[in-house]
Amino acid sequence: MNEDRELEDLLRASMKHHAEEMPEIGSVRTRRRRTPVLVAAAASVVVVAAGAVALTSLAPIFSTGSGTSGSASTHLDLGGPRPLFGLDFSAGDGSSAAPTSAAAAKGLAGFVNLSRPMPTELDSFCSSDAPQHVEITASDVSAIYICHEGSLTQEDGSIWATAVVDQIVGGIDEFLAATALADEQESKSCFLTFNPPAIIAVHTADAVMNIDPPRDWCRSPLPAWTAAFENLIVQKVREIPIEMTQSSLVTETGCPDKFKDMLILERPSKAKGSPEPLPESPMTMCVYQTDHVGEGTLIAGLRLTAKNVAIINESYQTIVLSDPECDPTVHDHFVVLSEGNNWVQIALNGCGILDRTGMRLGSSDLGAYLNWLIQNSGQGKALLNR
Amino acid sequence: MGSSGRVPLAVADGDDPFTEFVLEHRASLVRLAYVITGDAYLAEDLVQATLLKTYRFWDRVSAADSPRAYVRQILVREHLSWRRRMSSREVVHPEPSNLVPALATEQPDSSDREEAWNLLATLPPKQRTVLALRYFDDLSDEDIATTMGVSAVTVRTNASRGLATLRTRLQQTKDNA
Repeated sequence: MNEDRELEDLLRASMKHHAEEMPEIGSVRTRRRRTPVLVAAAASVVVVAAGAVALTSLAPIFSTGSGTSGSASTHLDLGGPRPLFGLDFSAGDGSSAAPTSAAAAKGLAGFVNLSRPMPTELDSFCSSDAPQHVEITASDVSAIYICHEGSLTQEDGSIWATAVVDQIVGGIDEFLAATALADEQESKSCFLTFNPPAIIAVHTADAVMNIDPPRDWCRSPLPAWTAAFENLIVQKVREIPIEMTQSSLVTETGCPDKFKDMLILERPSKAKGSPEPLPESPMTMCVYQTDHVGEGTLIAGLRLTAKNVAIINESYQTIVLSDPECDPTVHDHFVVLSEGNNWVQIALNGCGILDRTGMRLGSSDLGAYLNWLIQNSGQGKALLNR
Repeated sequence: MGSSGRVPLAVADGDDPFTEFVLEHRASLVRLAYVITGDAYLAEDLVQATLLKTYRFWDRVSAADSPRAYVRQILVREHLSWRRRMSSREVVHPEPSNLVPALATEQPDSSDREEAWNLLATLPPKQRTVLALRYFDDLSDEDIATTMGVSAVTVRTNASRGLATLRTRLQQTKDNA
């Protein structure tokens, strides 16, 4: 009993201590000097205006794929000058059409700040110092670079987060003039956290300085600055892959690289009878290895035929519910079958089956059949080796 | 929304009830979200999403006996549903403090308090949420059940499993030290 009390006291102390010492968001890279509220690299913005409400997030989406921060060395020289808003046209041809208001609105949001330490190879372009709101005349400037995060698809289909350096080659005068505008007085009622989604480094004859935009009453960049930013012409001068965000396996299979192991996390429901039959048409089957605390990592994926699915539906009839031996947490692998709105999650070497009608615990020969499918697809070896 | 017509990215005044609520409770909600998630960025995002929902249903929230409790319920359920959706959408990198115990124990000055925090991050979301509500927000099991939308028995089961896991892993950490 004393042990319980000690553990409870320890938890109380630990939680309260860490809540009080909660790290200040954005303190790693993007600190502002003029205001005490730090901006967030993963900031979300609650927009409340004239009855319209929207949530926008600047948070990058990453997987926990093995990182090679700073180690890759592919340097790319890419294309000619183009309007900044063109960066948003990731699937487009990078055309340099005149900006429209809609395209320009995407210009700033199209950037994502580096979420990892900047590779040292880029130190000569962008400094790691805190950005400053300063007035600089164009005649003092030798170059201006924008350092931010990008995304690059490799030949094997894997997708990498990259550190990108763009050089500003047009619109500098207007941009510096807008940067020199004074801040508005900040309102106490503002709870917005906003982060400039890129490092903007000005090079002069004797210094490199990261600049911070002039802010409005709620810490957003002034509209005039945003407009000047979006009218800049930039040229990409360097791109360095820093971390794989999507494996080639994800690209090949179309499966998410992580999937919650709901068979462990979900409470068994009172669902009765067999799971809902799947539509007997081709489906994707993604195979995951569980970490036993609720997360699965993709290890294989295959396409099932309509006949495969029909057999799975038949196997549903063999499920023996209320199996006293059944423990939903005992399995090493699970599969997720999905197509459109239809899905089911099944333990490969266990007894949990979850679909939209609920979670069932029961033994069946379904896992054996799915295992056989995986072995026959040639991916069984990978499965067994993990 | 063009850049020149940028709308104010915040509530307009400090004198409407929603703004007052945010000003009064946001910090404590972020702290609770941090204890529940173990990740400062995720906590900020979670609170933003919670406040967005709160704004949408402000009439209902403000009419509740305890608006703060109502919003805490939104936050907790949002978190648990996030945890599900995140599995196929995004994975947040853990902060150094959330690394697995094997790494955390390499820190020369790691205390029991730090180890407990690191081990909390290894618990399933429901267990961690129950422990956070019980030991950080000091809620009764019945209140936790209402907040999470589960039975009190489920709360006690999750708490019991979570504590048992922590006790075992803390002991293992000490034995390995």
